[in-house]
Amino acid sequence: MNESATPSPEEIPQPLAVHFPARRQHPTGVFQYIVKYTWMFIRGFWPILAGAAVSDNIRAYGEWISLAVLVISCLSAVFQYWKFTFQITEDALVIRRGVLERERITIAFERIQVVNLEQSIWQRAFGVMSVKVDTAGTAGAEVEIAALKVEDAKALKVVLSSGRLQVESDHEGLDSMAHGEQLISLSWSRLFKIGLTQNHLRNALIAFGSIIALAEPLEGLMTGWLSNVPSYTWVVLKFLWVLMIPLIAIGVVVVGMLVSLIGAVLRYYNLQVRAQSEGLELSGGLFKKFEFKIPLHKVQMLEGSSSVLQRVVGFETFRIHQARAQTDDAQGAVSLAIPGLESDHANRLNAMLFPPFAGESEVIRPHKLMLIRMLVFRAAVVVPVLIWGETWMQLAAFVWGVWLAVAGVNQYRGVELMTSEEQLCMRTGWLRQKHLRTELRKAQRVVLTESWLMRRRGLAHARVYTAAGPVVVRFIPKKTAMQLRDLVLYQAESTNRPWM
Amino acid sequence: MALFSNNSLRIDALPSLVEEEFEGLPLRYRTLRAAVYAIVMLLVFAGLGVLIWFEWKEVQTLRWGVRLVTGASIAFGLLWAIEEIKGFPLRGVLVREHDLSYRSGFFKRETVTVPFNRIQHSEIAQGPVARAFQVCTLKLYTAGNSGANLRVPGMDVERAKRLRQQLDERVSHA
Repeated sequence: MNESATPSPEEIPQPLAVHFPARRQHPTGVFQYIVKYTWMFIRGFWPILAGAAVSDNIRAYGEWISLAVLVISCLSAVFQYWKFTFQITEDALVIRRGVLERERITIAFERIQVVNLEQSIWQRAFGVMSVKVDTAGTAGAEVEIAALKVEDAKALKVVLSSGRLQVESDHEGLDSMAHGEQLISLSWSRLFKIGLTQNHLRNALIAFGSIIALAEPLEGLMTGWLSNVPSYTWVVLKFLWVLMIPLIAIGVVVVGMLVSLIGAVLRYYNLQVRAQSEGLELSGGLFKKFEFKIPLHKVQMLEGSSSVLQRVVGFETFRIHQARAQTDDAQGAVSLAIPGLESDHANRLNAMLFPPFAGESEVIRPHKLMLIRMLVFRAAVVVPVLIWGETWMQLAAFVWGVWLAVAGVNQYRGVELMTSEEQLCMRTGWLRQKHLRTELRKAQRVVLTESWLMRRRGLAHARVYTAAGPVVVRFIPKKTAMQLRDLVLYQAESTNRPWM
Repeated sequence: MALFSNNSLRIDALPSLVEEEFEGLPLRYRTLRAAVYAIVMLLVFAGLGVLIWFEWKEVQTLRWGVRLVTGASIAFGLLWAIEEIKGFPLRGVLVREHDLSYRSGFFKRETVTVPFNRIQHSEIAQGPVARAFQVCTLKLYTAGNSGANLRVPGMDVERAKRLRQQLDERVSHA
């Protein structure tokens, strides 16, 4: 095993290894790999697991199977750990990995979009962190170094995000990190407010969903317990169920609020946003700590959103979008959310990321056709129920239809695009309002679409794609759309400033 | 250092994309599209005919269903024909000094513009059928989104290659 462990000499370009030789991760990385591989096996062989639950024959070998899985995942974890090395050269991070199929990944510093440090609770016990590097390449190209000593990880982050190799920089880097101007720091009361202004309904649904999923294995226990309940309770329940409705409603609200509170504390505990010369830095988290860093010029888009509750308290949530292959958070895209920004903070963040709206700004509103189409589509859903449904369904559909119409009108009123010579700001939404802000020169491509119906009215949709996703303006006059396209193209083509 | 200036921008004075300047695609590509149309329609109606011929008894009982399917096929064929006949002259490419635009579609017209300095890499793809007609698909990739961001099917091979060469020079200069 030792034989295979030493990387063959021709594999490492010697001159580059002067300052920083190729290194392995911290040994605790093995544990992370074991967990990862065990999980992979369980997911990969779930039919066998399902079979084991049914068939006695397979269950008889249960211990052997689980032992084999454990041994295999331990072995592959050790090999994977042994074969994973990373190295910092003058201008790139070089990673070699893979047991059967060797892989060599070279990531130039300038291609790195975001460096993200994470520390789970057990990693803290060992004083290690994991480092995730996101390039805006194809999907799934982000690289993770599973375990590194905290100070190494922080030094690595400084090197990676400053975009150059500074041999003596480790301590300076740590100092400057501490010195960066503190933009935002969340206090407990603020954290509490953030928790209270989350989307309770969604959280409650998630909570009940997981309770039901968990309750399934406990079914035997439940039926046993239910049979002990004296039978007259059911009779009482039969008549008192009306009373139960408000009780359940209150229960849902309380559970939802609790879940939101706990979630907010877990995620945003001790959240800090610091402004530094090279970029923005975010850190926080209770059990699972994180540290994000993004250079200012790599910010592609700023998204602000606020629900009704949040607007009552005067809060807004901001999301910083960088270039990425995935536009979907669920698929592993990293986005930086900063909740609970009061207006002065929001202004400061805005001012830091974007120059103020200069020159005369123009407001573009969508044509009425957008509202008409929205109402027609919604009516198409409601009207069949109104016509053919039973009485109670008709009643419900009526209420729902009125609600949809009111929401449609207000949503239509909420759409507004503001452009200046260099920037655009797109507002949407009614109860949950959102705005997207970006610089025109960050555009990657512009698409104008017009359907046959729209052409007769001289309307068009305009989509301005940035590396972090599109800004879509629908149903605007074609002339305006073409002017917008000309302006965006002019800004993107005439600038020499770095955009990524 | 050049003297810094910050003149106000006249939006009307910006270079604008003129719809009339788009260049059409080679007529060979029209033949190819027509051939594809003919083959697909032939397959659809041949399939329908075979079904009706062999399942004549079922057809008697399912009269409305058969009429619906036949009607839908004819309507589909008509709409597609309109799209092709009216849409092909609209298909076109416009190469300007700093960007490339592609316009397509009759029922849903789309114009995509990509600035040259935002292109990450380019690709020329050509299948066996396209090779027979001496056309190819030019694909341009920009940052941050998976998949080709601008696909121009039916380009003349020589022209696409020349364009790509120009692009490569531009990218290496930047």
